[in-house]
Amino acid sequence: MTSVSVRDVSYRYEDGTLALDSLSFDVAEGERVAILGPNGAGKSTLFELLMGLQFPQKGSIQIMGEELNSKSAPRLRRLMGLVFQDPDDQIFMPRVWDDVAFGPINMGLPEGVVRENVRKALESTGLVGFDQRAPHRLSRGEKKRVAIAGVLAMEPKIVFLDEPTAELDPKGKRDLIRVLNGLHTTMLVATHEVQTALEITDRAVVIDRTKLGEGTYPELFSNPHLLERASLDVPPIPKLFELLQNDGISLGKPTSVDEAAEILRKALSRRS
Amino acid sequence: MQHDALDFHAEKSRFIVLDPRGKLAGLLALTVTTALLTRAVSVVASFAISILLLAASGLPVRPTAKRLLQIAVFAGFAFVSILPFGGVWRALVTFIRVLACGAYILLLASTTPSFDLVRALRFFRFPQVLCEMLIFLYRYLFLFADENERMSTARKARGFEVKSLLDRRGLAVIASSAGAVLYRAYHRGMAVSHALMARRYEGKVETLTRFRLGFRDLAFLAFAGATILSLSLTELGVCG
Repeated sequence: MTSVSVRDVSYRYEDGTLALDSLSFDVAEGERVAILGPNGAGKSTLFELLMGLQFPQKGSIQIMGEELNSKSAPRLRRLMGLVFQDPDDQIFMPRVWDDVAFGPINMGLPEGVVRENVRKALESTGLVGFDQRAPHRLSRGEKKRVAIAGVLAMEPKIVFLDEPTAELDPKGKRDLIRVLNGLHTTMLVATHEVQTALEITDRAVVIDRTKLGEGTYPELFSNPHLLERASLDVPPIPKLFELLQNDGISLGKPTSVDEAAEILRKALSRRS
Repeated sequence: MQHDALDFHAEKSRFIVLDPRGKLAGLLALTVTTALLTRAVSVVASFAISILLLAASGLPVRPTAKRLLQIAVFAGFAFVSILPFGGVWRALVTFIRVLACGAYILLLASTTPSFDLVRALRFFRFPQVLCEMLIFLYRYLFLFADENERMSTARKARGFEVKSLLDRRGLAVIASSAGAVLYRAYHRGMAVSHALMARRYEGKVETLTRFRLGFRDLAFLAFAGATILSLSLTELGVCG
């Protein structure tokens, strides 16, 4: 089943700037897809349209097979969760527990269910013991995890994450990627960090106001012009193996350090 | 940047165990009573009680004394404004009265997490919209303080300083910085509004935390009631 279907969507800001131009793509249920694009490519705007917070001037969006419009948006929003780029936009309540419970309470869930959802969300984001902490005393990485917990507690069928690892230190990034990889839901991740996208998602849609291309990572990396057009970099490991292939040394197309190490280990043991 | 919120030491206080509603009712009643006292003996007695309560609360001495000093500066204005018309004695009584009222409020705000305090206000039918404004204000005040501090650092890093109150360029830069903070506040407001909608906010902040009035709260209310009665009797000259 298709979870998200975007058809010929165009959106222009009030000042006339074109944010999205005839964008189309589909995301199947359970899929993890990255929306890759440079800054200003329209990724955050796309997520606001997908959440029904704004509506496209042209084209249509379907969520779980249902047309998203001003009438259906409040109901369809129950199926979706958006993690904002800046967690301070999203964390309103003065205590972590109350913030994570904010969405489930608004959904009218019974008290027992709210408490259970909050407990599970805090656990899955590694925030056990943070319940009574004030958000303004948390690190950036912790705030990001609180924002994700706030969305997970609503048990959405589709999660949108806008630049989830932006401004995080390496440890914060690693922790967050581990949290995201532990989630089992349809996930769209907007980022300009190809390496991050690679570690979280299965495939990517490359956009710069309009769709430039889409595919799995080996497919994208075999077309370096595509990433170049989107002002994105191929991560070091795929780039290294691409260069070796250009020199006639074809060892495969690893996307991670672990895969590369395995390939090199095998190649070296064959040689010796 | 770390900001020392008013309720930062609340968890360490002995009064944290008290129900915020009882604490709010008791301490506000003491504040109002003190504000109505005129006799020096009753004002001094109330001030002594407020200091004793602060000492009993277990709040750290240094930050509490610092805050009390800030209240004293405010009370100093009351002293100065009364002095020309009422003389030293009346000005001094006013000074101590303001200080005592401030000490009760300080005790309330320092020993109660802000969110609980707002919820206690809501219990006493304080308007919902004002309560929610207080919650959001408390949450976002620190962000704007950070924003302001970053802009100030950025100005200094580029060699900016206001030389005097007559420095027109300096004042113009400060004014445009304030404008930039407002502009950012507007954008933040838009983003927060979208985030609220995304999490099904429909005009009411709900929470599941329940307050419970226990024996300790009743004892505290009884103490507050007895103190108010004693102060009133002293004020009326029945005793003291």
